Amino acid sequence: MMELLTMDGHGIYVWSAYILTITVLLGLGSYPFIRLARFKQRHQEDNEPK
Amino acid sequence: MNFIPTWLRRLASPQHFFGDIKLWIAWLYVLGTIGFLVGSVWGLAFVPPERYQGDSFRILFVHAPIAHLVQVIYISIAIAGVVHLVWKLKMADIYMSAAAPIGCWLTVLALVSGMIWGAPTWGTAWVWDARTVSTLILFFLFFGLIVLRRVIPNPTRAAAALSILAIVGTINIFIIKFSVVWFKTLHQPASIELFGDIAIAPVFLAPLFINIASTYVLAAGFILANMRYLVAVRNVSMTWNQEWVQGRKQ
Amino acid sequence: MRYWALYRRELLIEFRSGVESLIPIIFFLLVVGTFVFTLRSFTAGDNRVIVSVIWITTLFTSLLSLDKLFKRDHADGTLAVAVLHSDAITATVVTKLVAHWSVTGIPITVLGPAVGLLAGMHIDHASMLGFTLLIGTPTITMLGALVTALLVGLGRGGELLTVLVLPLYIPILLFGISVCHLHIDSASYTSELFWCFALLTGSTTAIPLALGPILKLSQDS
Repeated sequence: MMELLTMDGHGIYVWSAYILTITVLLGLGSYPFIRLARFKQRHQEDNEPK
Repeated sequence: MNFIPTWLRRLASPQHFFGDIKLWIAWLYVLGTIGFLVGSVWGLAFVPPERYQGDSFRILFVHAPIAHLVQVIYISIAIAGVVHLVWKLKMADIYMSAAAPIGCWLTVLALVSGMIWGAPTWGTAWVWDARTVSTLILFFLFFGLIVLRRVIPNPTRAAAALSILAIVGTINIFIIKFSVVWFKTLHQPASIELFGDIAIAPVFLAPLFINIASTYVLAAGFILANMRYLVAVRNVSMTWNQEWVQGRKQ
Repeated sequence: MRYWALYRRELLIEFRSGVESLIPIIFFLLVVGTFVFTLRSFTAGDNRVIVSVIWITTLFTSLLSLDKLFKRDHADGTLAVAVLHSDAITATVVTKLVAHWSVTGIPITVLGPAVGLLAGMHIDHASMLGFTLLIGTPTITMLGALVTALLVGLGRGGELLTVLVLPLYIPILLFGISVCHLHIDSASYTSELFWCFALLTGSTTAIPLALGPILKLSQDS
């Protein structure tokens, strides 16, 4: 298990690359939905007073 | 245009696109995520270390697919540009606007993960060779598309400008990619070939291909999700949109 | 005849503005001069560096002058009238671009090698630099005009133009510089030179055709 983490001293590079990639992918995947939800909410608020 | 199937033709209408594409996005997200996890875990834990680079080469499985993907995204934007200029298809315009920011972020990711890979294997984070330079230029071109979209208020004009810039940029990227290879004196001969004289061993190919395929699928999902948002924003005044906003329709 | 008159009109307007029309050239000399001076003072400053400096400064100079390429014509309505004659718009735009190149490209083609000589380049190398600039500056004008046309009437050139145009200049920059570098190294530069010509012919034939519709669209909004 420790071997998988340290990888002969290369672990820091490998894991940071993987974590960075996953973070960016998560962000890109969720952002359209967050924006869509915000858009919907904003327009619901606009419509309510009428 | 009878050869285009009905389900595809439906997608050209904003209203149907907004409703129909939801299921597509869900499937692309699920398939892409599973594929990416399988490929990454395989690459991290179930593949032997490479002969020359040791364990650092495992970055290959997240770096190479993204670096390849961003070029495909840029070229696809140029193709959408041609489609927009020839057929004035609104969806092509929306595709360009939706894909540009995603391509831009993924290019940054490809550059940074490349630097992280370069640090232990090349001893330097940056090498001025054909691949890094063309990816860097690609980042500027993506950035240009996003900026151009923002500064032109007239949507027709913005779409045309985006199409033209994307087409010229694609030609540009191809020239840079193939030209730097021929440079004899500007660059050191064959600075560092990733796999030098050995080709990629078959044992590494499976996770690499799984990750390439899943990043394609994920990017398609991201772009479609972004397009769905843009379709909603640009059709604010439509009845179907109002109904969706007020929760009468999913 | 009509286009010759238009060409003369463009040049006349340029020269009427007097000292102002010299600003890009002065900028070119100033930047190259500063570079060469600092390089010669602190390092050996190899001739190849001088070539690169002159080429890159050429790009910056073009950025400086492109901003006003369509600005005046757009402001006084000349452009709006020009795009109405859609059959003649291409020829009109080409005439404008030739005039623009005459006042920016030709002086740089002449001054570039001259500055190179002053900086200590060999006459052969300086003339090769002049030759590549002769091929390169029209290409630069064309690509710059394309992006400038996309931004006509938006009221913001400058930095935006820089970000959009410079990436498109990179192929001609790479080939122009590499021809000079290979020549300095007495290596074969034929393929690079052919690429310079390819970029020249490609941009001078395709871009004028695109400019008409782009300018037309800019007048709609």
